[in-house]
Amino acid sequence: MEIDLSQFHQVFFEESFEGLDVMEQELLNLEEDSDLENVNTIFRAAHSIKGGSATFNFKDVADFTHVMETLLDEMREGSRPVTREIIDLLLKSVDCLRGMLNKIQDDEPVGEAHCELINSFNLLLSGEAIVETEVNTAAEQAVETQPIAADTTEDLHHYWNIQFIPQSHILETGNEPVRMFRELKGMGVLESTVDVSKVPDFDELVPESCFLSWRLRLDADTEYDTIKEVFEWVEDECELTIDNAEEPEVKKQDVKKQEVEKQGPITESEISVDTVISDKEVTAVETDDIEVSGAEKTTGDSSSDKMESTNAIVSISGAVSNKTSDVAKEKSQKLATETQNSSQAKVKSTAVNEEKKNQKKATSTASIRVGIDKVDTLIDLVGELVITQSMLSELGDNFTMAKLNQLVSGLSELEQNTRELQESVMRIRMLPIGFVFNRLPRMVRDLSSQLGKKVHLAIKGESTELDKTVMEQIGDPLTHLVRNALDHGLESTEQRIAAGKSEEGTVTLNAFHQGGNIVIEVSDNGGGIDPDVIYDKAVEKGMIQQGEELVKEQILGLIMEPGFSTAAVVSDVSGRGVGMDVVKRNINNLGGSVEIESNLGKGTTFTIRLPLTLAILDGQLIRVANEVYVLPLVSIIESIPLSMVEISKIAGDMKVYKLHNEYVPIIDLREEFVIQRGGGANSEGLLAIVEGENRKIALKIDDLMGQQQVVIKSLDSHYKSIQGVSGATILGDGRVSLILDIVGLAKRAAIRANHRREKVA
Amino acid sequence: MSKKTTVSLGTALDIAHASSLKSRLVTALTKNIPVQLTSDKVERVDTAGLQLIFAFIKKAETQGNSVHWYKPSDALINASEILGLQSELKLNQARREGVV
Amino acid sequence: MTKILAVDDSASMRQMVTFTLKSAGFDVTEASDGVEALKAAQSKAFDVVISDVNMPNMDGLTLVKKLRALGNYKFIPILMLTTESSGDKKQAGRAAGATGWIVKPFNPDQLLATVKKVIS
Repeated sequence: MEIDLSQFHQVFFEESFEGLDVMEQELLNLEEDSDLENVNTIFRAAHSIKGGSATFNFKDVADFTHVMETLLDEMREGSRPVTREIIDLLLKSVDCLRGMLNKIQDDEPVGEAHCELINSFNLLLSGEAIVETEVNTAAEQAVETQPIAADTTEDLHHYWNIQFIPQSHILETGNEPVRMFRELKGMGVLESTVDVSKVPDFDELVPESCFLSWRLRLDADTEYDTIKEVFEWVEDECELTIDNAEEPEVKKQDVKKQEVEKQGPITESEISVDTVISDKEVTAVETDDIEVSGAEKTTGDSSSDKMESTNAIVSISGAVSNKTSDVAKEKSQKLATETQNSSQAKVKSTAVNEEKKNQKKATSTASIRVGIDKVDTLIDLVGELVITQSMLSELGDNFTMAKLNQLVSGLSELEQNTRELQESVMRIRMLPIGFVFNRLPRMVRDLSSQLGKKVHLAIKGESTELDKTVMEQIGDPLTHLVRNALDHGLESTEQRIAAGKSEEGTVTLNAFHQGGNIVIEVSDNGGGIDPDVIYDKAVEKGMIQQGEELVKEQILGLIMEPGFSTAAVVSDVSGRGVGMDVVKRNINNLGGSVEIESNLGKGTTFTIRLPLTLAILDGQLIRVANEVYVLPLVSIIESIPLSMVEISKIAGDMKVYKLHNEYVPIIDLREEFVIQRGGGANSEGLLAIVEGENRKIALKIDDLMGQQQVVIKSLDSHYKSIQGVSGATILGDGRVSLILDIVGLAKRAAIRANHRREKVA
Repeated sequence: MSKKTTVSLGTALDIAHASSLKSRLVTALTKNIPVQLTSDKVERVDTAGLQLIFAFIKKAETQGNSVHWYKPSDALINASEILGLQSELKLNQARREGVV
Repeated sequence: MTKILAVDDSASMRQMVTFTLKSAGFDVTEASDGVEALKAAQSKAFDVVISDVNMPNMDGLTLVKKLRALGNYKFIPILMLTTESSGDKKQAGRAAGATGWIVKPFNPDQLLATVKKVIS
């Protein structure tokens, strides 16, 4: 049967990455508390990856995980102590495997990075010598066995005498002589003679035990190993002799050959790949001689012959490896020409490669693992929905006004069903934030030793769920915040001791739900941020004017503005990659916000607030002329009738509204979106005070309408991105309504104000 | 026609049913008369099943009672041949003579 | 139709085994560890069980022992999927009551050949 194994690759990659995450986590746990169950879990993960990679023909991964597994097995059995060096090596291996699997997934060569690690394992395992290990992959097995089968004419005999005396319990495990003998019969003519002398008296007979034994004569062109294989599962539970019935000379040869095989079974079988082709026309007897001497030669001088035969295998093993080597060839040719070309061309081609890679990633379907309970809830809800629907359609078939009450209650039931269904469907996309938190302990471990600080990472609320998409995008900002907490937040050990604090600093991650949001806190018990230092720095950088009055919250917020870095020297740790401004931008892009709270000498807390999902929004519908827009409900502070509002003008003709002690810029949405007059001419209008990222604006609108949950449709994918509009949705009556983005609107207003100011000046 | 008792072997003459079959065979033995083994429906046959029948036939014959096959199925005959038990079970004879 | 229970904690292996056996016309049920498998075995009478050895919650050897203790599974063929090619590990499977083993890595053809062998 032809089964395309590549259809299982994606699942294999997914579970392997998961397995690697588990290994990493357990390795870190192992450091604190070496528990046998931890080692078992790590072993199992490595074992699974090994089994899968061997089955799906990822030989490098299989070889690598094989040595890992061997070491883990020793740890599991207690014959190898758990040391920091071993944990380090295993952690490095986890990283390396991740890289290898990523490359395989992208159809790239895995490189040589793992070889060094394999050597380290072998050194550990053997104590000295480096042993070459091989795990045969399924394809290779197939390649290897075929030539052997085709090339064993000299090994085939016609008559075999087999003596089979099973132990009495053999039948109890489903090992059935009838089945085994039938298999033998399939090879030729079988004659069986049974010995019934050991069968006890009927009264004494335990019917499940076997007291029979057999002498079989098999008349078949087959070889010793094939016969032996039939009894493979029971060979330790029986007396078995397999003899060649006639032609004793051939038998001698057979013994000789077996000896050769014992010396070097792998090389021997590989050699036959070579000889099969070249010796085809030689007569059978001659072939036999050549074969044996060839094999002997191999045992004497294995290295060069082995090289050859490996080549032979590569060429046979077909499409997959051929393709890879072609690609490699092409790549190296490309590289050669590129070196002659300008560096610009080089950059271009990498860009193209990068693009291809991305395309590939995009097309590979992402999957999600869902707890069965969630699916069951969905099925229940759909069931209820069906009942409500049939009740309503029955009602509609012969409706009279007398049934109005029934209709109303039916519709409200439908509404309830729909809402619950929607919530449950959303919950399918929800995953525990532990998936993101779990990658942090490893980083903290590596970073703390790099920084020479003692750090304890406390994790709370890891089962708090959030949308998969949000989670995928919060990983990097979160990592950066933790990195920052270790690097800048926590003091050095000496400083901590001098300040009378515990030697070990603590970074705490916490997650919980609050309203429609998930809140993630990253806090440290370090030195805290000094607002005065930040203020001076901001002045120095020209971000604010000396003497400008800012509250503490605003000053701290400056560290997340573009172009701000407090560290005197950009350190190796936090200095690379993204800055705090990027962290903030990423979080804002997810519809979330960051707040900083800090107490000098006590520590700093970053609080991230994110919507639970990006797909649904609690919206407030507003009307401007004949248009309906949606405002995120969370952004609305208050709304005031225009008649009760005192509007001032500052800086040119910018209209502002004085709310408490603050001047809030007013944006007239009719002007902003250039809407023709119409609709609510009779209404006096409202000011809706809204807030985003600590910035308030007042929107001049005509009316507040209902509140409802809206499903967000991206404008980017259907049209293009527009500042001030975060997306669109379809209303109950089928109209498309734009969802307003407060931060974007505020920016638009600011830009326009600047233009005006410039004009005035 | 002389008196005899009949034991039906059902569809499965195998290890899973060996114990229950044995107790039915014990009952047949206590009657101390010739036994007919009805085996036309036997589909699954294994070593344990045939071994049990062998011990039964031997026992019945020492008691002086004969055991006859009634329509042994192909599956039964095949398995007994493969195990080399056909003459011990008197099945080669049964086959030659057809219905006994 | 022959009913087979396929047990492996690795989803890719499980899918491969299931797909192969289903393509050959078998009725296949999947389980991802011993506990799940035991549950499945009690709710449906399987003709053959194919199980991985190393699994969380309940490993393959324990599963075989527990299955053999159930009346229905006392004598049916149980095959272990094992990466261990060393003798004593295989024998551990036999001692637990397994009928035989299929050594990983195996290809679909090898799997089918072995399964067909035990159900003949």
